[in-house]
Amino acid sequence: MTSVEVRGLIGRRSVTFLAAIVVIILAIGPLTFISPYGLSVIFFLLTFASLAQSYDIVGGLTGYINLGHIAFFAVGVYSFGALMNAGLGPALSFILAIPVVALFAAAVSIPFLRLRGFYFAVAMLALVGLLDLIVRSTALTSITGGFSGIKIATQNNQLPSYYLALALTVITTVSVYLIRKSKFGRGLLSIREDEQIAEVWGVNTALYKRLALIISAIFAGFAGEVYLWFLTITTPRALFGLDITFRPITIALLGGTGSVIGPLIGSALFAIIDQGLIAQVSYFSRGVIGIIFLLVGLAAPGGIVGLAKTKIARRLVIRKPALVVTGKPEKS
Amino acid sequence: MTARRRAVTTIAAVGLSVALLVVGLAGGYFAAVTTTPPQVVEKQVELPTKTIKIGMTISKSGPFAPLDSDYDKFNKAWQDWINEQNLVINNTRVKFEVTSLDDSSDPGKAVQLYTRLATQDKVDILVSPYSADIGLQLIPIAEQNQVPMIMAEASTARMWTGENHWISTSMVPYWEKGTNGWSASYFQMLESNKWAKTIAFVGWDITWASDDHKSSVALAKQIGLDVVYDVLLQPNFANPDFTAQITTLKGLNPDIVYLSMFGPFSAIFIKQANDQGFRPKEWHSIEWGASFLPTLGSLAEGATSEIFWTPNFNFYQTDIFKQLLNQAGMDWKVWQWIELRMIIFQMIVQALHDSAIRNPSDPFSKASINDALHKLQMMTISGPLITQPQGYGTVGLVPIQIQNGKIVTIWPTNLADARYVHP
Amino acid sequence: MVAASPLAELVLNSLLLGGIYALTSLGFFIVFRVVGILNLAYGDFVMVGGLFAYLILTSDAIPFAIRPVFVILLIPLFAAVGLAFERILIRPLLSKPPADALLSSVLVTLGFSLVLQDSWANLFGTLSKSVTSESLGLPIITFAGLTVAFSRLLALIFIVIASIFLFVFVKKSYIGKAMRAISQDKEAATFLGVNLPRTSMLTFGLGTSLAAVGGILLVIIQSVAPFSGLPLTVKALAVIVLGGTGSIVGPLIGGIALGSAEILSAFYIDPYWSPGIAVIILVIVLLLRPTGLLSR
Repeated sequence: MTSVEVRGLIGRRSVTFLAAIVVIILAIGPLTFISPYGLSVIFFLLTFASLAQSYDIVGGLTGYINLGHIAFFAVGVYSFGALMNAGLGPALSFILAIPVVALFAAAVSIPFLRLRGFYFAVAMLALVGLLDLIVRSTALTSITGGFSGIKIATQNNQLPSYYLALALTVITTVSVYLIRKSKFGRGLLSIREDEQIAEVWGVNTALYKRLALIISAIFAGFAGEVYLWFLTITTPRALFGLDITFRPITIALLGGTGSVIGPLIGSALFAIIDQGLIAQVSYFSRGVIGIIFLLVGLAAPGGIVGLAKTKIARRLVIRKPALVVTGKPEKS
Repeated sequence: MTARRRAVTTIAAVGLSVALLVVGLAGGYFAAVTTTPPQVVEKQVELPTKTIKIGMTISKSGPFAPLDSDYDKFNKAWQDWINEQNLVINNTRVKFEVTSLDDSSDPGKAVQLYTRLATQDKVDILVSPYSADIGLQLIPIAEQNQVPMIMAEASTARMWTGENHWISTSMVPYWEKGTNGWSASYFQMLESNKWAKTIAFVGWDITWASDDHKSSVALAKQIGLDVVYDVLLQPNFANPDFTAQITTLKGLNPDIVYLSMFGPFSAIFIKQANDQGFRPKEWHSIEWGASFLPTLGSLAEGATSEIFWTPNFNFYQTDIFKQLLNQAGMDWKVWQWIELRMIIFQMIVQALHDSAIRNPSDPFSKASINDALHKLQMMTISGPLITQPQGYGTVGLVPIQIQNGKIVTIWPTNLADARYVHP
Repeated sequence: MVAASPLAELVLNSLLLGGIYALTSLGFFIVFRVVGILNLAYGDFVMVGGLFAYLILTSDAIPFAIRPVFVILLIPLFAAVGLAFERILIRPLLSKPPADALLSSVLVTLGFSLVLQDSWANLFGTLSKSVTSESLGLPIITFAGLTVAFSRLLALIFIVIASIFLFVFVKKSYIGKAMRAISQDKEAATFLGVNLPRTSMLTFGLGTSLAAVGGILLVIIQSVAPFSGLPLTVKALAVIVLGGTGSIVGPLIGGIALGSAEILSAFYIDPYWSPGIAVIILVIVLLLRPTGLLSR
């Protein structure tokens, strides 16, 4: 793929400007033109966006495919729920659940990050199955609600949860951007390129990987907290099913893994198909999503973002070769 | 005036009156015959129409699809039929519009779709999806938007603890360990036909299956059966293997093995047991539906299960139900719980009637319909339904047995069409 | 009263279950190892194979005696499907660096899996399909107090033979050597004259034909359903990880290991936790011997 730096051609400033406008629209939306239905759709869009974004901190930057990312989401859900049910109130519960998720990620990282590539992916996937069993075991049912799911007593939190989800998506995205620019980020990218060489060059790969996993876990866990606050009740089926387990990676791949706005675009596309097409192709909705995956996978290996980059690069190459050489953004 | 003149005047007066009368009648008749039809047409246009919108999701894909993917066909058949009945309530013509959306077995998608049904499509009544797991997450939507929601197959104790005011259901609280239990009727039958001594329980730890399992273990003990095995397994929708449990059961040799799993998986259990050379005196499954019979063939012979309705029931509208099933191309032996959907439609129609009587000024408001749904005293295809204060109902199950490849009702005696066959 | 020692029966059933797991993972393994692609639609190929077998075995249009012939014909049919699948959907991905190819294959094969699932549901309904051993006249064998279903025995025998055959094939035959070369170093192999596209296509064909066999036996031993493919693929992942990706016999070992772990833990420890214990064993094996039980 084009590892040529086409970022300059797209214009980082214009992307940021556009993103800011979108955020403002989404912020004032529920108070003006967004219906309750639209609110729920955008809420799920934002939740999956931040899930995919946080997945990509590990998947996109370090190259480690964390198929069990949803485990952190679930730990966030259950920690928040347990704290709320213990009477701590939303503010405290939101805050105190984070160290729980972080500790869980830290504990998991010790054995699991010793694995590489394919084996890491499968092990993390196995972790999700294990967590499913633990949550439903009779020992923990009094806290987790077992197979009936976990429920918190509050009501009508849709609007504040929406804003929390929006804030979380923005913060996660900005964090990804900052990480990429930092030395930490460059270290992660070097691990993706070649982990052994990175070690030779003095990168503390074990620490970096662990940090990346914990950071990604915290964002995913917080997304889980907001999710439970919005729904007030959720069940193990909804958290550990295979469909939802594969969602972070497929959305990240759809939009473009390793890019800052890729996961956001992937989530938006998914939401459009999932809710937008139901009226038209309700008896083949799964198949339609499959076709989109197929097309993007074949035609746009870098996701939608990758496709956009190639198209723009190609057009500019044909029209203005000099631009490619100098790499200066053009005012259009 | 002479007497003669007086007589002539009288006769003239009477004659004139009669003539006037005849002319009047003739004219009136003439007028009636020629002008009535336009008057009748005017009357029909005068009746306002109210469309009652019913909204729900079904699963066209995913793990729950084998259990309810074809329910939209039944919905359409009922909708066509009810609209032909030209229902009139409170001088309003009532039409029905049933919307079935696809949730792909995805709880998140269902939440968004029910929000849409409640707030955008503005349905009057919601019906839950098949799965209680998904259903639980939808109750807040009904509560917050104040739309009555009828729980279909989905029901569990957690829903009826008093904090939900907009949900109702026809079914008994079948998780209870007494006469409301899922297999209460089955165990009553076993008590009257005391042949078994030992019973083994294998179930899935998922809503409904687990409820039935626990209730039935208690009921078995109550009637004096020896529970030799009681195990809940993690649900495995993919390719489950029951070798270990079957090996244990072979050693224990129970009379009855009671399976609390979805029908297709009970079938796999029975099939695998047969492969291992194990066959108890009786198999019981909480559900047989879907592909149970085709999967097992003669292995299913003698197995028992339960259901809310069989074709030999004769309470109310059974013939119409059978007709609708025909139209939808659905076999009640495959779509085992479709009778609950018919009951829901019956509940809705009854609630509208009741609402009109109790609240004639605003009978079609959601609050009024919800109130009526919570105060039902009606007859359904499965018998009487009287809504309880908690919101659930009184429709219970009867045991059936597979005899010669057919499903027959074996208890209670007034509803049975065959005798219970046991060793 | 126990007919034979439960341990003997449990061990036997572990082998049989392992056979099924291995059978439904071998094709997946070959493709992963040689071509470097995770075919997430593999489980769906297995299920569809079972579906077609079901349609043939329950068809009134085909006389009972001839049905097995048609069922056997499914195997070359699926081989052809595998060839086409590779040519159309996988070939475009192979020109990329391995990491990118792997990621793209996730989207492409997952997408294909979704399309397969919904197509099946729309064409053949959402209900699961299954055939009894009885209806096919397959016996249940008893010996020394143990009981074995012929269908399960057949699955085990087949996978053992297939594993041995492939072991020899990969070592001795030219295509086998080509496959090995590609699995070790794609670029070097191409440089040395191995026809990558052709070998890749043949590997896929082999993989899907093995999937068909798995499906045919699965529809008799358990059942097949439109939406059960992906969980089966996930199981195949566990099997090949346990057995190790080093050897062609890996899936057989991994399958038996997984089957034993599940059955023995369900019997001797706790049925509820048995899937969890299998997972824990998987994780422990991964941590202690990251390249699987069979690795050097």
